[in-house]
Amino acid sequence: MNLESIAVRVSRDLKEVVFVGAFAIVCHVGPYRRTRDLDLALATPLSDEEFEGLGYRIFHESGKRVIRTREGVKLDVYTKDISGIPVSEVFETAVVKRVGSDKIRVMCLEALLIAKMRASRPQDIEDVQTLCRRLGKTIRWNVVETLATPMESAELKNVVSAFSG
Amino acid sequence: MKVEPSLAVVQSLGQKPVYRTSEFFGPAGSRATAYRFIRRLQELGFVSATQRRGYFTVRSSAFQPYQTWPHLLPSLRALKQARYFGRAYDESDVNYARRSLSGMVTLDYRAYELTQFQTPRTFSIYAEDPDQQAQSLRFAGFSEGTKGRVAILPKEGGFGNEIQRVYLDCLAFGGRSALDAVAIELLHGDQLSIRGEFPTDLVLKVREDLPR
Repeated sequence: MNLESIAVRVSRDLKEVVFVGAFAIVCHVGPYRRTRDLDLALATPLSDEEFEGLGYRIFHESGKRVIRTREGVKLDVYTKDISGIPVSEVFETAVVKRVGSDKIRVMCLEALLIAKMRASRPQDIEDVQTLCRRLGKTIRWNVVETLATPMESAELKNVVSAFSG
Repeated sequence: MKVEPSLAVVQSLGQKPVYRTSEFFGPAGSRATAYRFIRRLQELGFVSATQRRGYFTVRSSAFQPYQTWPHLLPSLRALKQARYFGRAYDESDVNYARRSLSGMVTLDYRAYELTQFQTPRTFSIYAEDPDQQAQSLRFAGFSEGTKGRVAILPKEGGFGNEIQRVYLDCLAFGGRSALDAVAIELLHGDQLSIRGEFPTDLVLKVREDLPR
């Protein structure tokens, strides 16, 4: 089973879900390098029992709760914020993307860019470059301004400008 | 070992998606030195100009400690000379290249074989004779450009320890490939004599996400 089908099923199972991270990037730009896990924001936290009731497996590894689908795909669940963007805002600004004949909700391009810029690990920097290079012209700056600080907005404009030629 | 002053300057700026040339003026001491340093970093393969004049990107490998830099230079030289080819611009191009090209596979596809960690995208191969391999792709209908998923790299530096070389290539390439380097180190660390340095949280994240 591929990650897209698993994401669709997770979306059906957990109901109020927005996919974030590398899977969200794939939904925005198409095929892209990614690990075999799914990062997602959940509107309402679920208990271990609720996850298990839905067929997910809970492990405690190195003191951390790890949730896996029955295929072993790890779910990284965020219930408070993603790089400082509150989950409520992630839900408000989420966009719907088609996966085959199904629809799922993913973090909007603007939130994704701000979260990645804040994280600033090597992979995040590459992600920001790719998103700006390929989708820079479609950024909704009014959304950026509601989610980012003025300095972050200016920095993002700088990045888009560098790739716009 | 000679310390590259240009790398010391770039490290002082911190990691970010793009840099303006003018950001180099202060740390370099003067405009002229800044331009000289940027040219030097471009020669080494750490820096690339973007589409807009006055802006550039820096590979994350430029932020590795200074004792690692000399080991990254052959990989960077090869990456700088990489030639990209595409026909359908999808997985079928990679399948064709896998069957028809000979040489040592590196980066995405080899890292995936070694770690199963991150899905591959570009098929990179070191060729004995890059021109001949490039010609064979062109005969098969491939076009050379910047977006292709098949990359032919010239052989630069040592290839005695294949895993070490793939590791250094991933480290030098930087970005998402830095995660491949961490994964290789976690799974095949006993075969590496030269290692990079990574933040602890990055290593923990990769360890957590490695397939079981």
